[in-house]
Amino acid sequence: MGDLENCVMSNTSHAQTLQAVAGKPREAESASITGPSEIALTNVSKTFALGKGQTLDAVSNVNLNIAGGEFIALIGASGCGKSTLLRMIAGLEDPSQGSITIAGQSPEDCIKRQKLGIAMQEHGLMPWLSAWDNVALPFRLAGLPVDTERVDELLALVGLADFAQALPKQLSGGMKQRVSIARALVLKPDVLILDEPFGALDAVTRRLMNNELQRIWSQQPTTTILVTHSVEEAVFLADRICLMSPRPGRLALIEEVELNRPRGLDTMHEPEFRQTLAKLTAALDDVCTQGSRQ
Amino acid sequence: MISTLKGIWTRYWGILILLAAWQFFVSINNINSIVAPSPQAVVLSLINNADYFAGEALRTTLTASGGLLLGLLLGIVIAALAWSTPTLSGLLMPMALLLRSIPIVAFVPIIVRIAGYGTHTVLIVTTVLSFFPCYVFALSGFQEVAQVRKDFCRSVGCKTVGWRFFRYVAMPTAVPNILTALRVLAPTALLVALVAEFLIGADGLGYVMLRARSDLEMDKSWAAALLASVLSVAFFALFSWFDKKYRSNWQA
Ligand SMILES: Nc1ncnc2c1ncn2[C@@H]1O[C@H](COP(=O)(O)OP(=O)(O)O)[C@@H](O)[C@H]1O
Ligand SMILES: [Mg+2]
Repeated sequence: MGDLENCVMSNTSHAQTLQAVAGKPREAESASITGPSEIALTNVSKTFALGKGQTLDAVSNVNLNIAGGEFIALIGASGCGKSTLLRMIAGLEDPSQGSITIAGQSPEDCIKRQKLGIAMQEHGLMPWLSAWDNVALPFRLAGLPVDTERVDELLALVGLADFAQALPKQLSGGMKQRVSIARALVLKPDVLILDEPFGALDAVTRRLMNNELQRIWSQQPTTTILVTHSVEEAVFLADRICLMSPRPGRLALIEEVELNRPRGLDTMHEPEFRQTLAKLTAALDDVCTQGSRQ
Repeated sequence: MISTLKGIWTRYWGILILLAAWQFFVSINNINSIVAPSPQAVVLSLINNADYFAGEALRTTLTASGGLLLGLLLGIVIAALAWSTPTLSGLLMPMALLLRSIPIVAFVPIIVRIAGYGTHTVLIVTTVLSFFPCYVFALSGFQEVAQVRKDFCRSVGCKTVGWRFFRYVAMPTAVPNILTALRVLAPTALLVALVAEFLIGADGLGYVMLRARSDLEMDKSWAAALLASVLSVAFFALFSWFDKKYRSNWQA
């Protein structure tokens, strides 16, 4: 418990050192006022009513400060409350206790200003729309004029310029996820929320997608929270990794990743990468076995 | 070409057997043509009165399609209203159910009293009877938007109740359901139009059957019935094809 408190207390300073570590472009970004938003979670808990008076503590007392432009990965066994925490940050679910602010405002405000992008394991593309129209859909749903150049730009960014007119059923799983990520980014969000976006992909495609996401993200550092059950993915992408313990879901460990950016496929062969990976895998196993012993 | 013919042959040769059995039965038992005409007589009647039958069949087809499309449109519009105002659906559902549970033979005289005799009444009957299934299918289609898509819409600041959500997400989501409604209803609409014509005495295949029967021209009456079944099957085939063609675009 003492460890946890320490971790949480030192988050702010972590974030500051991180900005220094992360290199020039991000420093410039954080200096400007309209940069990516910081997120503050204070004593956030979520209790679900299961009926007949039974309740389930899905998330319990989470404290976390995320710096603007930071990439956070959230790992933990399935069912430990990662998606619930993410849905609360995205304003899709209200916390039972505690508060969440994005750039000082509520997630609902963030949504209203179209400053949030989400992509989930289920891509949720509209099957009747082409890749292009799917990426343009956020404009239409938000009642904004479609910025065709922006849509073209994003399809190119995710490497699907040649598939603009293809329907989702004509795309592979990885391509669909890329469309989904392009769709999440099209309104230039300040916060990007990813819930196991590559969870259904095979290992090779997944690594390539990670590399691609890393590239996209470093071109335009956006405050990003990624839920994943792959420790490898977390270490490769994140600035900080939060490990959640199961039932009730708390932050058991917050680990900083000291790998230089830009990272590429060869980053995974660096000794630091392997060390962090081994450490976190052990911690994850530890937390999960503790949970099951309860 | 030959392979399609072969396909038709392997799938439908049972019809030929039926026709042969019919002809055989009628000639062996020497049945009076007033009771059951032979297939030969029916086909001859069809050929000899080709123009007459074509005209009446066209009329029935148009009334049935018109009623089906009007019912569909009405069903979609009312379902959209019920979707946007859940309290309204509490009013509409029981009313639609009531409308649907009245048998057609009881229903037609009521409509005739109100609307009078004529093809327009047939159109009204077909519309009303097509309306209910279309309403149910469309409404459940609008409500079928997957959670992940709703979440996405909310994340870009689009509420899952407003017009924009309806226009860009709920409405297109319902398309497969509406295709199903059309496919299932098309043959029914034709038969409903036929029965209404028969009961009201409005022009069309139904009336041909009615008049030929009272004139004891059984070959004509049977020819009309045969034509009606062929049309009904054609309707079903057409909308099945339509359904097959577009449904696949709704698979993610
Ligand atoms: N709407 C809900 N109602 C009741 N229980 C829920 C609901 N959503 C999630 N849960 C429960 O909360 C726990 C955490 O779920 P979730 O956040 O989806 O876990 P994870 O994403 O880490 O796999 C699970 O035990 C799940 O059954
Ligand atoms: Mg989850």
